[in-house]
Amino acid sequence: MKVVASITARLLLGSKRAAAVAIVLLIPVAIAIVFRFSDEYHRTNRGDFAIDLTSTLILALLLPLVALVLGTTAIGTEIEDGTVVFLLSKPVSRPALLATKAFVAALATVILAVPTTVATAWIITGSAGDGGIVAGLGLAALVASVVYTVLFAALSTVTGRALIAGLIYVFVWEGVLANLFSGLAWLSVRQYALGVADAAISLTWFSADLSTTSAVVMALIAVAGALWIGGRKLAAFEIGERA
Amino acid sequence: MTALPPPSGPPPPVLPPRAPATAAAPGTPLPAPAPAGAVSLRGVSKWYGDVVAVNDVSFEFRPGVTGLLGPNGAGKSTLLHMMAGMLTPSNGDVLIRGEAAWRNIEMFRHVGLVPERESVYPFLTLREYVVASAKLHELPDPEAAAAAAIEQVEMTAAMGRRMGGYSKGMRQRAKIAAALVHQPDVLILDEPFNGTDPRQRLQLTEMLKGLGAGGKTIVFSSHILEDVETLADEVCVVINGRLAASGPYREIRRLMTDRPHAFTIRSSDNRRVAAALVGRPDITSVAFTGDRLQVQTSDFGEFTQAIAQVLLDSGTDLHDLEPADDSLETVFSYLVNTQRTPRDLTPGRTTRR
Repeated sequence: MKVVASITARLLLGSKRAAAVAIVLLIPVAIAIVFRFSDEYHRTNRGDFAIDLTSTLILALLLPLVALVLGTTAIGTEIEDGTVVFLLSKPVSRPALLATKAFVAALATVILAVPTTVATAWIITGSAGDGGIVAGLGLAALVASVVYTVLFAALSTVTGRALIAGLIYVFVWEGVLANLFSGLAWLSVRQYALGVADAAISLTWFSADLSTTSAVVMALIAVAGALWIGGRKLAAFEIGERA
Repeated sequence: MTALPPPSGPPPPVLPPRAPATAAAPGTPLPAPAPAGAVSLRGVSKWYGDVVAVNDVSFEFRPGVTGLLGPNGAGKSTLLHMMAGMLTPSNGDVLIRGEAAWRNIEMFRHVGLVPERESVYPFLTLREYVVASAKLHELPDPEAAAAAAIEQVEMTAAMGRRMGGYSKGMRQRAKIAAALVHQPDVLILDEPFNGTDPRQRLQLTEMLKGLGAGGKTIVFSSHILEDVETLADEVCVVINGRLAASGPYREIRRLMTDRPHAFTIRSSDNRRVAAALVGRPDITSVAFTGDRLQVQTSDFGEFTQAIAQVLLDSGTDLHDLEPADDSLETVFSYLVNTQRTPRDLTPGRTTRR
């Protein structure tokens, strides 16, 4: 599977879309820097601002977009352009193939999103240990990166419109519906991430919809379930269906 | 347009069956056991909703080179993809070495697939690509196996270059090298000649012929008669998803040449030419269409040899003479219309089914 991992990594490195989202991730860091040197820095509650900016701009918007692009590039584009037949005409386990590709893409998302999140929170709060905000948000970004990317990679084996389906999930399901109906938090990756962050953040006002334990369990179930469904789909791959 | 030669001269030699073990005397049923490396299609159909892509095809592919010949959209690729385990048959069985091809990843240890789409990883060099193939096959020495496969397709000089800069023909050979790296018993190639120049075509033909002669089962598809002619020992003619005829190439060719041929004539006096032609036994119909004369003959060779004399005798000047329906599609549709059941033209074998 090292070969698959290496091909996937090079596929992502050479992707223009991946490069574009990497640049987009610099936006929150830039905002943090501007904040740091503005008058607001002395007037605003920095902890609150760090959590607000990170959860609305990174966790709710940019990170899912990065995961969507990297997750679908890792396998969906290969299915679209037919190169996946090279891998599928080998005696290689399909679920293992998907898992490898999904985790390489997840690792790429982690490498891009976690430092961005940590840097943003750190610049705003001005210290690493302030109420566990930096650590908590870093953890949230880690969980969100892995779960979103694996989910979207698996989704691209199920549908050729994974990009649109992913956008609907992030903006309609999580952005609107999960906010209106708290029960949907159980099916929201963002809520898993915030649930994990809750373990580290000691601010009293910050509380997630899911407990940390529930969030970790649900995140694991989501990853395993996505890989199981995607692996089955890839095992029954039919050429010409989309390729 | 595919020009068919006149059947004058000596009759085409009849090729002996390539697998004596499976040859049977006329009248005896076909032998059941297939040799190792064989691909079997047994009553295979594939449909997409209301569209039938492949309709009840049965065939045993034996070691040697077999060409699937048919017009675009005939179902050749669908058949090949089912053989390669990349499509599930809607009905019937596709067996590779006796085992179902669908969802059978172990099968790929014995099968190499060269898909029609030319997509390769543009960021990999050929060497990296073929080594990756060897590693995925868990070969003991991937580097050596890759070097040998690249040598086989004569791409050693270009193996250090990224494939993004390759021509169509080079990509085709790259895919073949990757499919050959584990020395499969069965090699399936979908339109392998697409995008190749004449020299590459010749080289590819020689290589595949050599593999076939070495006991491997090579199955390829093409819609070009000449490709099949130069490469295939055996031909399956596929039309509208059906197996219309199968057998040695020369037999298929004879069947195509024996069909009625239509010609369009334009001369200084079409009526005199028509009058002279209707008396000939090989002419089956004469019709006037505008300033043209449509003539149908049952004997291509006889007609093409005699037409000049007929014109001379009738004292008319010929302006134009051209075959009216020599497209491959016409040849194929003739075969379909005359073959209600697929014909097995292999000498010494009874008609299949």
